[in-house]
Amino acid sequence: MRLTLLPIALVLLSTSALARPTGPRLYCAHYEDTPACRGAVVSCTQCHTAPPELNAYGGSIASALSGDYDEVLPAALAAVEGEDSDNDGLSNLEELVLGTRPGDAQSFFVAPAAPSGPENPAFSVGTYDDAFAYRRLTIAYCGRSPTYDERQTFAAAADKAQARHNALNACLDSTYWQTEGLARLADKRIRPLQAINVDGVIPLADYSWDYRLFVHALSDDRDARDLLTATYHVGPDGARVSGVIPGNGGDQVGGQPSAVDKRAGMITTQWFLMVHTMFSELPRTTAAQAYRAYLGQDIARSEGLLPTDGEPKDIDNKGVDDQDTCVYCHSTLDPLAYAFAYYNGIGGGGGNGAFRQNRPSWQPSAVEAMILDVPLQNVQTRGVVDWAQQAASSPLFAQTMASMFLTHAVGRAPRPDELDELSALADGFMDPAVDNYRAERLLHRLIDTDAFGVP
Amino acid sequence: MRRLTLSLLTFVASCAMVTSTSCTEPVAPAEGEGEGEGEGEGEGEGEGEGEGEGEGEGEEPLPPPPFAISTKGAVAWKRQRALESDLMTALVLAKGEVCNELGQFSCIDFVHQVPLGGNDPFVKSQYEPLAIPTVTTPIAVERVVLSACVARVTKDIDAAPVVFTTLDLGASAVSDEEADATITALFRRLLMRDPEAHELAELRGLTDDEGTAVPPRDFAIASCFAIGTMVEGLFY
Amino acid sequence: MPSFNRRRLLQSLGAAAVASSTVSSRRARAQASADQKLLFVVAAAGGGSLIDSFLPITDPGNSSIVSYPAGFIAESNGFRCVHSPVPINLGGFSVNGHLLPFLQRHGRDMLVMTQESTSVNHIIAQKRSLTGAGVHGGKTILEAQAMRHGEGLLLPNVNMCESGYLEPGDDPSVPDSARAVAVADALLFPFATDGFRGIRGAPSRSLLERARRARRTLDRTSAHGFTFRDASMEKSYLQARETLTPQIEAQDLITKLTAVANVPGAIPLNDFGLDSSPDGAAVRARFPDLLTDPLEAQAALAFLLARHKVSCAMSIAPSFNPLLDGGLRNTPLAFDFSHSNHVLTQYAMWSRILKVTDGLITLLKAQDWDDADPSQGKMWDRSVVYIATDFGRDKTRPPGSFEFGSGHHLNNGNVIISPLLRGGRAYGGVDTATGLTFGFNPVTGDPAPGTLMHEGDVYSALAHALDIDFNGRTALPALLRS
Repeated sequence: MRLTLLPIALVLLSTSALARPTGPRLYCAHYEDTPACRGAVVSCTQCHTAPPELNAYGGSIASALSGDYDEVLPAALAAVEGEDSDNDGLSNLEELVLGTRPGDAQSFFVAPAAPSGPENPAFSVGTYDDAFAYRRLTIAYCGRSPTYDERQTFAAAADKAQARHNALNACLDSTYWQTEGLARLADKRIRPLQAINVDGVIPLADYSWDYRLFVHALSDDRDARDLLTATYHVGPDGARVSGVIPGNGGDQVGGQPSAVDKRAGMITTQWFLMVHTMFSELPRTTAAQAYRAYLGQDIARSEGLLPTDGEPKDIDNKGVDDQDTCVYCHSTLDPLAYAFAYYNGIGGGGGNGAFRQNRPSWQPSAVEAMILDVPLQNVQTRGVVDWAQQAASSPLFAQTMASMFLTHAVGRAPRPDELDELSALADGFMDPAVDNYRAERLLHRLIDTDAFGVP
Repeated sequence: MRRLTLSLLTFVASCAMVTSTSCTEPVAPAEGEGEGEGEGEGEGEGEGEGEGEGEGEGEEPLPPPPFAISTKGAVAWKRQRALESDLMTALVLAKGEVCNELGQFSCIDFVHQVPLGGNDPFVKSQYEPLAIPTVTTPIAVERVVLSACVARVTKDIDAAPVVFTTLDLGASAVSDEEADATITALFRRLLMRDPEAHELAELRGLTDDEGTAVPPRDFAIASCFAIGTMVEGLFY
Repeated sequence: MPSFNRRRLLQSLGAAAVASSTVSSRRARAQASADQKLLFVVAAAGGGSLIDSFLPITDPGNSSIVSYPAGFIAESNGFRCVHSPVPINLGGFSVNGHLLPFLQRHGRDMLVMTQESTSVNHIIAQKRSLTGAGVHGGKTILEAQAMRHGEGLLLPNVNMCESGYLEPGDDPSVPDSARAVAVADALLFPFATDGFRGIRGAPSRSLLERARRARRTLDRTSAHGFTFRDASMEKSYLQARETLTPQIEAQDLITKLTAVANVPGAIPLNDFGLDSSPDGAAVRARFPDLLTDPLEAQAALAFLLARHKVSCAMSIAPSFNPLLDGGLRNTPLAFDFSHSNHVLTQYAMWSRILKVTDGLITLLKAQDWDDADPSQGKMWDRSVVYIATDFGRDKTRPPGSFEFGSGHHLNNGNVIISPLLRGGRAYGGVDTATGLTFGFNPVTGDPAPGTLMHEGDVYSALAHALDIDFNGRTALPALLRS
């Protein structure tokens, strides 16, 4: 790794420092309730540009470090709270509380003041606006605007809230939401490619199973955790199908070769395993995509790094144990990936995506399979199933779902003054007395938020 | 508030590059800020208000708002499917009738899919749509709406009118009463509300072209186009 | 753990009155500055390997390092390249190589620069190949080029790529005008340059312009217009509509950028009052399959955008979809089909990339920069073509085998073709024992075993050629023409 030797005092410095994979955990132990740490560990980019290069905030912290990193980091963090490392007018602590980045001058927040002036004749600016929310939900979930007559009817409704929720119910049953609205939320999770779909030029799997399962789990009053834990598939008629589903040819193309006890929702479909694992003995891409798609942690962007001691073992001799570079990510990624090694990608006995107990060349005892700091026991027989169970019960899953739906609803990422509402959505999503992991219940709460309904 | 020394403030939300504004009171129009034919654009500098550096001709300052406005500075973009659905409903058109380039290539699902806010995940591997409209989005919107308006007017000429029922599409001119009725109907269909008096007056002007009467057919298309491409119908 | 109250903090931040506005972007009619440069990025999507193209290793016999028999390596203009004297067969389809013809035609302007990238994730690596892994504050080289040379251009930065090559840079201060305009279909893009033309049955343009003016008034005075006047998305949209659209339309780009010919029935341009570009014939001669080959269509549009001084930063890329059209034009997953069949995929896809790039460069070499003033030279004289790629591929194989799959590998290099740099040679070398490339002395250009260049150095080389200066730019005097 190239070394640059610039004074630490420079703003936006590029001084190199060996990055510490333990940093994110320690950071979030200190700032547990901040948005960056809620249910997760902070991304390395909180303190780094391209790790291990430090940003202004990281530079401030580095200047305050003296002694063993793991021991003195909390004190160093506290020492720089009052500084404004990136000179954006907000102290580091203020930015942490708000959820903006203290090392990035372009990341800050100015809270909008209350609207002032004569009453707006068309919108309840600054407060919840029923008509505004009604129009918004109709477009978002019905895929169309309310008609003139519908707006008149809504305006005349005595109980606007009830009318709003009735409209949402109707929209969530609409063809638009069931066939397009929800499906577009799945695209980056499924990552289809028509050319290698079952009806493509080089058929390898059928992604329509994935889209049906995604829509199914997030519809009606179903448990969204089925995205990760479903042992069934969803057939073209919408009915659940369990067990092995044969496909075409020796590779079982278009089928679903995993038995019920090897199933784990979206992350063990034939398409998912085929397109991400392909020919890899250790399917890092598969694990990274599952981590990214359903837990919102993108390791390629230095997010969700929870290193495991003694890892990576570089079990497949790819050189990922390079201490200067690769280890920072692979000490998290490889443990996440071991469980997926027992599933085919393309080819292999049993078909594309089939479970194969003797697929990897290493012994299970040679590696440390982990997810979110939880060791995976019996990785050879039920590793991905347990991976999925841990993931589905994690606050990260709830946050990912809440964030996905809120971002879709308002057309942008939540702002700092909306993060409390986002947290409430996520917390309620997990609460058996509130949403109990039902996506449609979350959506009913979502349309009542200020983020959604305040113009 | 420490941030007062700079009036150009941008907010960047988490990992997205969203530029938004917030203001606590109506912003006095920046000098030179305009939307005319020239090249002038205002760029605020200094504390508290924008001071434009516009050049060119034809700039008009924004009229001061007569009432409280949104300080949240955020709207959502009505993307291609909702745009298409709304046009189909408003102008009573089938899906394939809304807009086709060269008479054969779907505007919504193919030619202008991306600038209208859609994405093709299956063939083009576009797994997310554009976050915000692109510079060619306004043109794409105009083409789709104009095509739909032409399609509806043509159908209303060829058979019993369905939308333009308050116009004699075969006549040589449009009366004020016909104009108002048509404009009102189009507002209800395309923007789902009644027009204000000043809006009627503004669009009524399309019946006349420097002393020459505009044929009803052309008036119908032009007013449909103007109302259908208002930002009110594209953002929510 | 410190205690803090978010709600109180939010309230305190909102207490003071602050006025703000978005940064507007200046646009002007299509014109260009005298020192304007052009950047064309051709993305070898999926991982194009240099040791399988222009830094081949000669197989001493049964080697376990990816290498080629001497009979499959040719030389021209200071380079070696993989070359099969006969078409090769991939999956039943015949592939004609184009590496040697490319070297023969453009090798003098070409340089190879070794480098080792920093990610084996496609999306991340693709983006870093354009941002130099953040060396220039996170700007892509396309954004930087648009900022440096885009003044006065209507659409300085046009991106026809996918995935990571389409991602914006990470510098939020990049003005809107320099950000990429994404184009999904190069053939049909011209339809997005005029609001009215080509729509049968539309009223006169003058009436529609009046309708536009009426609409503008309505937008400025409606309740919605007042209420959301400060919403940045609406402001940007209105600016594009009111300021940029008339300028785009005035340039008749719906004609100038239409590469296809009028074909009655199939492409009935004339029936809709439209026509092909005056440069259409020349473009179609270089890209005869642009109707069916998206990469040729992209290259055609890239040329036309530069030719008509609409853009100065253009990027194109092959799709991940296979293209079977009388032969195997595009492997599934582009270069990433190397996972399945490394040798043939690399040969087929390098040939594809270089054939299209050859066509583009040929057009640039033939076209005057200024029609009215040929003394200003050709478009090529001020052009840079950067063949970006995600990363390299594995360096090892079953001994002597040509039938194997390869994974992703950080170690690789890039190809740049430009008269603005000192071409005709490779900068850096390859260790034949390992297949790994190594760096070079930036002053002398001599190979320097034990050193490595990185994405930021490639970015810097491009920046030098394009006259883009920035803090952190690597000094590379060896690459510069005196």
